[in-house]
Amino acid sequence: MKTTPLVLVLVLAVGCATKIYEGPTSGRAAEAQVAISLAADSALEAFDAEPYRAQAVAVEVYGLTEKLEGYSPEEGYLRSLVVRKLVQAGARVVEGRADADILLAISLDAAGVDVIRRDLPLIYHHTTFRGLVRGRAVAYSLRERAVTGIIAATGFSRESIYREIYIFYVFGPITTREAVAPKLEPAPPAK
Amino acid sequence: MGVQHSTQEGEAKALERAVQSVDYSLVRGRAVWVAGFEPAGLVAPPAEDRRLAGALARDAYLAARLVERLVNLGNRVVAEPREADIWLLPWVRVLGSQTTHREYRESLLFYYPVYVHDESHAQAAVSIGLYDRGSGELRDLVSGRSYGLIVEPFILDVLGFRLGF
Repeated sequence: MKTTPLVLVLVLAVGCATKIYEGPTSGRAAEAQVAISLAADSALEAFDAEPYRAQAVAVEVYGLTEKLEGYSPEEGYLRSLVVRKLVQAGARVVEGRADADILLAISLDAAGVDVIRRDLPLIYHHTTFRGLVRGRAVAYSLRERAVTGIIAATGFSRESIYREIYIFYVFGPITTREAVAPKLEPAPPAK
Repeated sequence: MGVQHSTQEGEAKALERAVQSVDYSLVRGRAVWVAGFEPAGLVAPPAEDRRLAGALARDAYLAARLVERLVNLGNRVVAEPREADIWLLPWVRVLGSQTTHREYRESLLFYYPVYVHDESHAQAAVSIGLYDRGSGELRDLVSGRSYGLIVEPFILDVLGFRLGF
């Protein structure tokens, strides 16, 4: 009878939880979306839209990732967050520069996810989805669609950690998620 | 989301350095038009060659970074080429990265990874075509080749930290 717990532990220890990720045909993995949206939400928390109250603002996002048409999902998501903040603050968001007093140009340096797996064989396993959103928002004053000066320029950067933990490779996933300050600060902007 | 963020991070770092390394003295104080500084959401590759999608996105990103630099230098960036003294045509000549992975595993510890090391090396170089409408002169403003490096060591496969250069 004393051997029963030992047998039980051995049976559990040889178990294996395998997670299958579908490729691009099914879109982006849910975990990656969780990580990146968490980072984006947190990165723009400090964005102050109050100075744009009662102004007509055009919002454009410039990202490094390739896209076939329109904005990439990350760029579109970030733009929607900025637009929401502007509208909440009482700004008028316009589609083109022709009707705008201010052009808010957002350079999106990085919007992606690193996946890191850690493993203490048979006992512990976790997969971390580490998202990062980093960029720079520059508000330009517009006169007859020409950029004449910089009203404000601010960098934003935030990491997020979404983690799934398995004990004995079987029990889980135990999930945790948090937004954290990035370990690396953005490069200083051009002067 | 399908792209490693450490790779993007290094590339953005290298590209920013390349933009800063260009000599803009010929442009200072002039009215300029910057190709690619258009609403990025509307940039689409020609239907006949969708491989250009990445290049167009990068050139538009470079244009946005360039505009901030130029406005800081006192330039006026106009919306139409006909309103400008100078046309600037930004081109990302080099932007790429590679990630190398190294690890030390100890056979006495069942090949447990005692030390794991990931490095993302990025490099960038830009070229900005300059057309002076007054003199008809055509020049090329070329950056030096710049680098970005992100290093992530892990000790005992658990303790990790990041370094960026």
